[in-house]
Amino acid sequence: MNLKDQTLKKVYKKREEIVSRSIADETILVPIRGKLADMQKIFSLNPVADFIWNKLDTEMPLESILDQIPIEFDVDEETAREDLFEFINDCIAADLLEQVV
Amino acid sequence: MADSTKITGSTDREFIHRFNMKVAGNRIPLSGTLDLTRQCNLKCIHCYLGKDCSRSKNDFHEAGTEKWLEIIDEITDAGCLHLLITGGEPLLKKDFLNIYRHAKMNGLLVTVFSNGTCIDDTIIDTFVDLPPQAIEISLYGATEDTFERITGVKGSFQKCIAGIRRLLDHGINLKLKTILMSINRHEFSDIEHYAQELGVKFRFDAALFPCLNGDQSPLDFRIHPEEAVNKEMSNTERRREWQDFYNKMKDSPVSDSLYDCGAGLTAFYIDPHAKMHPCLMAAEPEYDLLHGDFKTGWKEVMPKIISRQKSSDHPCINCKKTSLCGYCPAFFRLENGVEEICSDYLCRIGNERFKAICSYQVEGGI
Repeated sequence: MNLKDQTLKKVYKKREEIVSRSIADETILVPIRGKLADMQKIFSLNPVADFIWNKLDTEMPLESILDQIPIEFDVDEETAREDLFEFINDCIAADLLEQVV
Repeated sequence: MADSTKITGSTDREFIHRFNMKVAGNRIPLSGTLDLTRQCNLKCIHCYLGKDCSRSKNDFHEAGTEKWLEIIDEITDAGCLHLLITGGEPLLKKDFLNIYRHAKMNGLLVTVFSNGTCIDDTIIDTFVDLPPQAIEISLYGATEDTFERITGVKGSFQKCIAGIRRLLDHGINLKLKTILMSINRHEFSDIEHYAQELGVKFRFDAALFPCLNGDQSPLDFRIHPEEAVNKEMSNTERRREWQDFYNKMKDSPVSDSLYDCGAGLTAFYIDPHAKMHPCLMAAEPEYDLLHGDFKTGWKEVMPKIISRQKSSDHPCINCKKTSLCGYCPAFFRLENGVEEICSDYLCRIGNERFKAICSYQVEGGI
């Protein structure tokens, strides 16, 4: 099992202090508490990021989310995996997620 | 699928441009103002509310907390993102904190306008827990004497300064602003310097306008447009912003719409009685949210303002300086009684800004 396979076993959840808004067909994440709110930062998600973000509600392992990406979007598994890792890494860097497992 | 999972930050200009175009194209009410109350503990001589705000609390019959919470839910559903809470002095509104918290929990980006004199522990605790985008405080003078000549209330200067310090001590994003007028013109640079020392953003406006009830007395405190623009251009950053803005706008066609701002297009204003207007100054159209929902008012009533056209002999129709004067038909109506006779004062401000920008460009910039 390599590092990426180990990562796929992890479960993340959205931080409670992030409110997701849908405006003009865009998903906007608004931090309402904490450092991000202090910095007056907001974030927008494109369709694939939005899809993954919504799946994080169910607190499922990343591998389960990965399985669903090629069903929803016309991509192969390798591309889906890269997209998933990129998004999760961005979210962690932006402090939007916390690890559950 | 390059960039398919990208998170875009709020500083991404490409995203902001695309988003704003979609918002305007779909007439989404992105920016709202809730004027919670006409109550105020100050009696500012230039206030557009006139003497309305010094009446006793029971005279107001303003919308209650439940109504405001309902309105906040409705505007959130409609797509509002930027929310300004103002007054009167909004911190005096009963249940201000409940209303503020509700807006924050809905994911609205909330700015609060305040006079800074009512910043107590409960306000600080809430703002620390749920930070506002900004709290903007009006600082009318650099000395107690000048400040209180304007506010008419003994002790208000010290309370305001104490409020400013408490907010900064707790890391709340504070901005300062002032109205530049004949009574505080001599302290303008001291006010600006104070803001710089504190490291907070500062802005000012010299365009005093009449009271909403028609009383013209605030205009007595206006300063000469040349002096106002000189003070504006005395700051290198402000001067550069005006130049960049003019260069960006100068070749844009003058709009045929009477109201060419965001009022009724992406912005709305709700007064303390829960009546919706396109903006604070525009009395018409009006929609009563006590007897109808936001969506109906926004979709069926507010568009009346954006469908109005300038007449063919409108004095501003061929003017290339409307990006510099603060063109506003609602302002014109308050000053002249009609929307199509422009404000001589704003016109002179626009001309002075134009002269300053031209001379700056001749000098070759910074």
